[in-house]
Amino acid sequence: MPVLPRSADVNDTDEYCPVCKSSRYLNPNIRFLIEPSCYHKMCGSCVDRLFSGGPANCPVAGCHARLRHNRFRTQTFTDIAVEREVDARRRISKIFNKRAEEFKTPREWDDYLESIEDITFSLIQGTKEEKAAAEKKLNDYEEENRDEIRKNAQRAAAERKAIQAKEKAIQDATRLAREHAQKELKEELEEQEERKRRQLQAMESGDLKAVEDVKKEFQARAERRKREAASEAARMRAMKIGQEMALQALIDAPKLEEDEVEEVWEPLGKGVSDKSEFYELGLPWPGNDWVDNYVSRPEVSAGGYSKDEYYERCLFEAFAGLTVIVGQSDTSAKTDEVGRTDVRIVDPS
Amino acid sequence: MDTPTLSVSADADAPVMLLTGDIARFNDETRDKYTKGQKIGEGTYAVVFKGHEKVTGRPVAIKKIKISSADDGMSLDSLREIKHLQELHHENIIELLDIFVGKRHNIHVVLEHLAGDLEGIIRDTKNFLFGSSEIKSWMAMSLRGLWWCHINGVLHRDIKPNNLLYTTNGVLKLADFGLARNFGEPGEVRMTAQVITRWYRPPELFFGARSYSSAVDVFSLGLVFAELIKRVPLLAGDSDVGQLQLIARTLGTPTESNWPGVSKLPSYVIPNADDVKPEADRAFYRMNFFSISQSGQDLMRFMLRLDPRKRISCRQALESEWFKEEPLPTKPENLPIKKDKEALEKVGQDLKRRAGFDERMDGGDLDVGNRGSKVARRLDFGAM
Repeated sequence: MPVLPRSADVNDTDEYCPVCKSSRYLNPNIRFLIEPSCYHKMCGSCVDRLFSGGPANCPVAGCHARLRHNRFRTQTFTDIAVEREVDARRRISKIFNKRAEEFKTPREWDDYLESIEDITFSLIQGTKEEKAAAEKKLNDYEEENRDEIRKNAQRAAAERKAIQAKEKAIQDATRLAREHAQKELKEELEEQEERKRRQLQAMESGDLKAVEDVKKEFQARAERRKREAASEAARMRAMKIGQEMALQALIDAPKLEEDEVEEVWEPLGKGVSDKSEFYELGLPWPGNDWVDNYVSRPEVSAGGYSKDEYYERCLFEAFAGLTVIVGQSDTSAKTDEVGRTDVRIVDPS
Repeated sequence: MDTPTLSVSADADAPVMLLTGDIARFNDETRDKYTKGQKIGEGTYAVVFKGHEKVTGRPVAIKKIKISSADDGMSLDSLREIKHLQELHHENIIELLDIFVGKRHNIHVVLEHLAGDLEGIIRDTKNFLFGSSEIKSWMAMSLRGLWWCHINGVLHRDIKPNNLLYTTNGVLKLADFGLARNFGEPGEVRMTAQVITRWYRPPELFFGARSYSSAVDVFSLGLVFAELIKRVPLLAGDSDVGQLQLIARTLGTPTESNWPGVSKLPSYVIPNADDVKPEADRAFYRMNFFSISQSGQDLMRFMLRLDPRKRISCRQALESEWFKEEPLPTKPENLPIKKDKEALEKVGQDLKRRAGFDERMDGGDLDVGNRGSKVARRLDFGAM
């Protein structure tokens, strides 16, 4: 029975494991794995045998790389050099993840790309010393720019997500548009059919006026349909513009996850304070006979009426709106029209 | 024949509002900012529609207020709601976005769109399980909203779970200001005692107090707090008298000793004269609300004190140790919200989004950093 090759690039029955010498000819299910420290190939059973007890040295003579079981994976490219380069580039691109927008001139961006390319080259093709130097440069850079790297990575992830969302929205939209168009076409055909039928009926009856009426009615209907379609299209355009802007905003400014700082409980919420820059209520207030007399009545005080609340409110209202200058700025004038928001808060929203 | 209602003339007695000049233009501009969608609810005073802000596509709720010319025109409730919401801007209070007059001279109030109310979550014991950290978060948000009302001199007077709404991000908002009013002035102006849904009404209102304070809202919120833990209303009376008896039996009988001056209130009675109980103490809360910590039980006890003067204020409640200790309040975005409703919304949006009519909405303009084609481009190995 012929054995189907596991994949197009390893169809060679002569291929054998350099460690245990078992070959595909004897064991058709053999899997070859590599570890991205030294890229020496070996079979799955060798990996299990040698490394399930923990990290060990590479069994290939002369190679002293320390390998770990969980880092073994199948090879993507037949050519190990390509595999190696792609790995190196992947690693570098995760560290050097600045974006073109972060540079002032295209020239600086190009220089940056070139410096990356230099490091990549020496890491892949360089001599031992060059490799070590490149490695050091890479680590130093990562150490220095840790925060920025993380932020850029998050931004990229958010962008991918936003783009996926946009693509999905587009798909949905086209699907719905198609359905809508089909529905409309069907309706139009039905209307034509009806028109024909009605016209024939009218002609059969020999009533010229009826024929004319039918004609008029359907003209009116056609016009109405046209109008509706136009307004529908306008509505769609407005919606579409809104949606596009929203999605674009999502792409433009992906929300970065804030640093996980220890949350401090702020009783009134972030950035809200109840201190006024104009006054401070010193309770208990010395009193005002009129208010005191009212509040001292038992049916008033037992109901919970509080003079402190009244005084506080008086003070608040006295100073409310003081900093508002109408007409100075549109937005502030709008929120402060009633003069309640400006004195106490820095509104968080 | 001319029908008088249709003739929009400059008649001063016309029942409709006539807008002219700049105001009319401004009104039209506001109206054109929104699209009105399907009806999502109808009450005595208003019909609520779903809508969208055209520019941003964000959903809104458009409340069309019914004006009956047979009665006194616009209902007082809607007037109160508009009046107070115009003044209160806070993260935990429903946002009034715009007001405009429609084509048929109805007043439309544009409110932010909210996903659901707390009652739905409390009642749905099958699908929603939550612990003290979620309750802490909800309590903190509602206390903040209520604090903002009180500091601005507004009594909400209808705090209950189905007036506590949440956004799709889980942020809780106080809504329904139909019964709200400003704090009473000292003097002969009296407030009505016939407010607040019965199950959440504090004892002083049952005794007919006409001068009361922000403490009434705190009591209601205290009962919501208890309900969040028990998942059933703590005090569900079937009549006003029954409700008062229930309060007396559960939280203690209001007497002169625990509430000085209470017997002077207009309609004071001892609801359970044969079985006078002392005010509920720490042991009562420990026994009934063992699932939250001691400081949480204390907070609830202070919110549910019989004597309104002894009740804690929102500001003081927010300073409670309970909010500071572990587990910390859940972040709003991680709070449970009704998913099925959200899914429904999604469908609704899908249907509306027949947007890409002309199929130009392709990804052609996706290239974000449009820095010109002369700049070198990198292969994206990072995404592999």
